[in-house]
Amino acid sequence: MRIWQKIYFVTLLLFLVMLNAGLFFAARFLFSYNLAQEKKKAETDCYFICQNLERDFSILEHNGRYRENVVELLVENYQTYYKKQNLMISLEKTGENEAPVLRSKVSGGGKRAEIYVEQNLGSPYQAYRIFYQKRLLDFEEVWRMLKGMFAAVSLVMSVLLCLILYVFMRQMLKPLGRLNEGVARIAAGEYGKTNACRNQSFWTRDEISELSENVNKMSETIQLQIETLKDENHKKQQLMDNMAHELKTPLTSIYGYAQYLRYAKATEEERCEGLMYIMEESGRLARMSETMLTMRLYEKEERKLEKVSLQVVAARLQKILAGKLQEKNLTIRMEFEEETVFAEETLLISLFRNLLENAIRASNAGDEIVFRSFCENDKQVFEVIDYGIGMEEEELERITEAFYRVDKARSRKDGGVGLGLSIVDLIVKRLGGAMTFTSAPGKGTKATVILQLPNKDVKSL
Amino acid sequence: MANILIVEDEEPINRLIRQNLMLAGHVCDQLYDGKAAKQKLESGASYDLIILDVMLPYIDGFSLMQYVGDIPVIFLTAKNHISDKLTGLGSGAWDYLTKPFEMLELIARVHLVLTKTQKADCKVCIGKTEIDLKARKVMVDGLEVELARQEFELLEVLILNRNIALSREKLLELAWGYDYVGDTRTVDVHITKLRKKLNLERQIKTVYKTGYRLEIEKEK
Repeated sequence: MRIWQKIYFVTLLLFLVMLNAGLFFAARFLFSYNLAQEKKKAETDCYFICQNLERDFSILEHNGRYRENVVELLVENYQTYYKKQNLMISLEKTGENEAPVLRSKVSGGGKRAEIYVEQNLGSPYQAYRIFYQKRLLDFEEVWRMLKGMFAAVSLVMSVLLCLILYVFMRQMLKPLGRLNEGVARIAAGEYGKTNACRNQSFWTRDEISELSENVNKMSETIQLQIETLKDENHKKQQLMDNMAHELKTPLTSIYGYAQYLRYAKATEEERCEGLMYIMEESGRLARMSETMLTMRLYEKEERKLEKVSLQVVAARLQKILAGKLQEKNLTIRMEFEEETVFAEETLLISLFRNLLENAIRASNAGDEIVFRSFCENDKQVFEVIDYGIGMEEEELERITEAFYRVDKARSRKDGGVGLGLSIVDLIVKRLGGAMTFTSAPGKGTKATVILQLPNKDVKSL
Repeated sequence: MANILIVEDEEPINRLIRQNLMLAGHVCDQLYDGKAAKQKLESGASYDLIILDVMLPYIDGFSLMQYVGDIPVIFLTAKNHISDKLTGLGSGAWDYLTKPFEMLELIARVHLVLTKTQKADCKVCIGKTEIDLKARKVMVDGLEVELARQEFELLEVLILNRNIALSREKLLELAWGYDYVGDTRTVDVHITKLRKKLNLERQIKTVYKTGYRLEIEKEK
């Protein structure tokens, strides 16, 4: 059974019971009220008759004609007069010592309603008691009409109620049906905006529409997260593929040269070279595993931010890179607006070491590399600029991909494993920043790292 | 002797392939990226065979297939997924080898392709010994020498894998076949016979702890 049916039948039943009970009691009340009115009227009538009789009796007494037969005649007169009004009157003489009464009752209720009133006359004629009997002929008619009318009203109202309630319920609970369909779609794995949300006005906004909206939100969040997961999974898969390939390359060399040296008739020169390659490639494997382990560490560890002096960072970088700089006769111009930043020293050094190494690799002999830092809109901006070979647009897009190399031969000769910018990317994300590259072939490359460094009173991420 | 082009971006591997092919007496050109290979092929350079990597800078190996014309191609790549193999073979390559590769396998497959395209050398000269692999004839000093069937098989294996030391087990497997149940001493006996009959004492070397190697001067 659908919920609208349940609500509909329960409401309808309650309404009909209430309505009919109400109508019934209203009819009853109206009837008994009228009856009471009639009774009162009868009592008043009776009282008047008594008064008249008393007056007539006193007149008769005054004229000395107060006798039994005269009284009977008088009463007869009254009787004929009141008969026209559907009244029956009789007078009886009761015992002297009987107490005077005034009582009235209604008999017959429904079809044959009658009102009886019996009343003793006032002093000094209290020995007489008058019986008053009135048939309520119209009343039966009235009662029947009343019943008919109420039944008709009840019927019409019930039918109307049935219809209105039906339409109302269907209309009100229609969104629930739609919501149900939407949720069924979600259950079937179809995420995203599943429920059509119309413009909500004051009248259409209710719990169901709110629920719909929330379900929509939930569904969208789920979709987003699933997509993120898929994306991440895809990236991981890609990384694994790349890694497998990257592992295979040195392995092919190592295995191939070892095999060659073992079986082939190698010259002394070939022997030397082969051994050199084997050593080089083994070194590359070792570096690769080391770098990947470091990357795992960057991903995992809780980071504590501290005050880092940029001068110290610069000095460390100079020391680390001194050999490579000397080799190509390069200089690094360092310009820092700020003395200190809140970050982590090892992360910053690793970050800029990788960027500077790339810059050195790209630079031509004798060039200058600029490494500078300044504040912009509450953000710390770092720039590493070289004036070397630069990159094409499509290369720029892929440089943060693990194991992507713009110039393979050169990068490998320098001992790179193809993870530099992947690490940089990881660190920048870790520090909650963003990184962009601009480059033009033959003109050089500018790497911009924008870090949203926390205020000085915030000590940890 | 065949003229072979090697397109492989990793310098050590490129060199390794070249060294291996040179052992078998082939002449090699080396290229390191897709763009250079495309230029070379478009300029009309002719080769007997191309050893091609898939992941190359600028233009990948699969895309390069449209420039090779009717030169046979063997893919040699780290991509060992079945879909890559199907793509490679579907693009018209003759063979698909994955890294890391066995030098014997590379040489055998290269030889197979060259045999099919009839570019393989049928006649091999070792000193004063002349061997015609197709006619299965051996001449020493211009005089034909009679060789037993098994002896010739062994000689052929040695020639195809010249300059590579082959273990006795390997020789048994290659010259006698997998199902041959025999002592490795059989190999020694046949080698001795070959050395004597063909006057190859100097060329067929015993390699310490390894096996035998037929040494022929490499082409330079």
